[in-house]
Amino acid sequence: MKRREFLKISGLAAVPLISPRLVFAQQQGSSASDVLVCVYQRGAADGLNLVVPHGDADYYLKRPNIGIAKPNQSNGAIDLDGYFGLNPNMASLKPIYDAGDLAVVHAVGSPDPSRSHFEAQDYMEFGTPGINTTADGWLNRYLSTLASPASTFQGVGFGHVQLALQGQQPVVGMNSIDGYDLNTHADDEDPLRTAITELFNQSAEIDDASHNILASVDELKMADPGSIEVENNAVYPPSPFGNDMKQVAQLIKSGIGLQVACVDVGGWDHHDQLVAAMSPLAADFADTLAAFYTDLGANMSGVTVVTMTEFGRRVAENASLGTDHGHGSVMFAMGAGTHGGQVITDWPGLAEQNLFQGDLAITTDYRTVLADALINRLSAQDISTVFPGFQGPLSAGVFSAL
Amino acid sequence: MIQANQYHQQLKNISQVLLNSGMGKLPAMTKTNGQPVKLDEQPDLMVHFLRRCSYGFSTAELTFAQSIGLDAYLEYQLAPEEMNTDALENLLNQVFSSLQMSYAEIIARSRTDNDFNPAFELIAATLIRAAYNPSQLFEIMVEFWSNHFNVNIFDGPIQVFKGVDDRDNVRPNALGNFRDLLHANAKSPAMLYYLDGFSNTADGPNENYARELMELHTLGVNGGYSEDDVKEVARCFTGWTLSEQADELFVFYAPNHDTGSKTVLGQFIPAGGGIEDGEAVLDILASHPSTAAFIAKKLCQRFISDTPPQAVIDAVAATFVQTDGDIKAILRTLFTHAEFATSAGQKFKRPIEYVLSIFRSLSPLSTGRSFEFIYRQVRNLGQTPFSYPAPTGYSDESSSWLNTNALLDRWNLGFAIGFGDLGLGRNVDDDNTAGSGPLAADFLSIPVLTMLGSARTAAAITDRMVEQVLHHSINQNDRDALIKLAADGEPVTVPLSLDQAMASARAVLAVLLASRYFQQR
Repeated sequence: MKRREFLKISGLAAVPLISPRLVFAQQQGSSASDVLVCVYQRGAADGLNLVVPHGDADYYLKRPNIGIAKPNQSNGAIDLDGYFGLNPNMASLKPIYDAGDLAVVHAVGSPDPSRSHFEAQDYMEFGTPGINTTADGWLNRYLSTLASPASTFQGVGFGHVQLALQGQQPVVGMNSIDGYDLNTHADDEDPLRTAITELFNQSAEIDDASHNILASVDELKMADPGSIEVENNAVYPPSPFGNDMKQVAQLIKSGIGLQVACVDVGGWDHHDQLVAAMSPLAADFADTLAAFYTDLGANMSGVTVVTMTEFGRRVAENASLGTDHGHGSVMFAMGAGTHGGQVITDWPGLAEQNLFQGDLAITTDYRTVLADALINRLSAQDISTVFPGFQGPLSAGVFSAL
Repeated sequence: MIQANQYHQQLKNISQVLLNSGMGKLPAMTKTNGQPVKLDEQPDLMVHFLRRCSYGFSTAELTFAQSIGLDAYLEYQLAPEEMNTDALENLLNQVFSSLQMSYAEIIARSRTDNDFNPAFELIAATLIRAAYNPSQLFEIMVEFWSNHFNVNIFDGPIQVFKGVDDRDNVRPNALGNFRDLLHANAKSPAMLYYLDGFSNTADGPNENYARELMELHTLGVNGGYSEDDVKEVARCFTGWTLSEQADELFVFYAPNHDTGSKTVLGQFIPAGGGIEDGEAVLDILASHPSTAAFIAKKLCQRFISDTPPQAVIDAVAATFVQTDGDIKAILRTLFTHAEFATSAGQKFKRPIEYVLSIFRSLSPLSTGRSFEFIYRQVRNLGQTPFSYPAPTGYSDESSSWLNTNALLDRWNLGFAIGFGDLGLGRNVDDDNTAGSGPLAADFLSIPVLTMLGSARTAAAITDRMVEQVLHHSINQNDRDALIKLAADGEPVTVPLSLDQAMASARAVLAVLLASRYFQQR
């Protein structure tokens, strides 16, 4: 759907913009879909040190210095299932795993062998591995399959509009809820709005975008997510990722009509001194997800979080005690609709003959996990639009049906 | 991604040098004089041409162009070598030492000096040239070809290679011949690295460059090549690699070359060849009619509309074929075509054009921070030069740039510039936190009093601001809306006090910068 049609359907174009109307209010409670929060670990996170295959002897042979010790040893992994264990800095996720609301998918990723950060990120976000001329992102194409967009805030990217969200469907990018507003003096705002509305009174794309701006600014003011307090004594780390996820929770609780959100967490490109560099990042990552889970509480029954990264790291450590660009990595899935408490993998093993060009082989396509979420938690009907050319499988058993 | 704060000291240094040199004042040195511009609802052809062949223009530049006429002004823009840009180039060379270095010098310095940042120097020099140089069409063509042969400057050693490529390959050929540009690009270390050509060998062929060469650089994706052609072209370029022992880094390493015969686009290339195999491919592609059509369409999308009429594409392609890729001749055909004349307003400005046109149109007073404004805003709006991550380069279609979020950012930038006392940032600008950061007028101080002149009634204020910002009139409904804004509740015929008139002028300026008239070109 084009923005223009969206406007006609929602009636936004006809509404006097100075007296905003809560277009999303009609949608409240009627949605049979989870909100999907996509967390992107930029920089290629080392899945082998996030979720440690401590039962695979080759892991310790190939990582004599940077390998995470076995469970019950000093600074050892937190055992999950007798074979895999969490990085010791990620203890805050263990209770969620034990509660059955957190699952790990291992040896997962994009099948394209690119080891370029940008190219691999683009491929993943386009949803078309190996093709970088795709016109829109997979999440925007998902939004295009919805019958009627609920709100300008159906898709929100934090920091910017991530490639996965870009496309024809209206979405919003923001750094902060507070900052998403017209930058003007209070006295000037109404006259400026009137003049702007009169100047953008045609039916070109730029007019639609203009109406959407005023509408979304108003929607945000009416929903007022910024005033919603953190609940259940959750404590978000004072980090960019923590701050973004706190605001995603606010948007969800405000009922503004959020369907999909993208949040980035960067800094995972650890070519040297991996253990020292990764420990605080892993803690921030885990503590933020745990705070989000705690904050949303019962609301997690309608929220699914999925994490991804462009590729994993080389299995063998390098001379700088880091890891170079690799292939397979790990994804986390969190929410009440997750078949949690398990590490889901067809583990390829880390013996030399089982590696893909020296890297962890991929036995689960990242699109399988995302399709699983879309079908089971977001009632998606049309995966071929979201992931054109993808042959499946469309489920990895990560999510339960709504 | 590049962060402004890590270059904070460099930004300050650059701003200071520009200020000391007087360059910070350059656009304001040309005083507004001469006749008032004729106001038409559709801009006249000269205004239209200036909007397309420049990054923005002041009334003084329009007056100059009108004084010599469109044909002469086009020729003036097509002859940048006749313009004296020494002052700016000398200044750039003084501030950015990498601009004059050889590959060997840049590599050696990069290895020993952690503060040396040739990528930032090139980005800064590029934006400063676009902002200040009178050779506007040339700078736009440099941007066009850089984007056409895109490499991501932040991809590994390209940050070391790209500056020399820009200086020795792109700029000398930007208004030259496409064939020369193509050959230079094929041997450029930046491209050899970016598309993996340097690792393309007979034993382990890498098709990345071969594919993009045909898909993106010459024929276009439907230009008539097959998967077999991709493989054959890759074989022709085996052995084209990089060595620090070579002055230009490029070397043809014969032991890695596939010496068998090849067939490319139906043309037979006999066995036993060397570097000439790849050069033959480049010549085949440069002469191919699909290349002429592909480049013609891309230029028409740049200068006419996102969906240019076939007639003008055909005319431009015909000139490409007749002149064997003479870029000046091609541009003459394009700009003098009837379809160009009737295309006013059909292009949505990209971020670089929006930001630079604010700077170049409004003759800001010197604050010493103009460059910082340009650099940060271009980055915040998502078009840092040489930074697009994929080989396609930045899109030239409005659908890639026009969305709610991006337009809100532009509005807020326009409001900040218009009112002057607002922070520049909203939403995406980490460097200018609302309420605590510097104000817009600290970066660009707009001489609103001068722009206002003697206008005091709402109608006069509106007309005066429209004339100086847009150089053409607007439709009556829009004019009425602005007059109402300027009147601020007073009768429109009553002269306002100077303070009120200034406030009204600022409000009209803010809305004009947000309006479609200023978003489009």
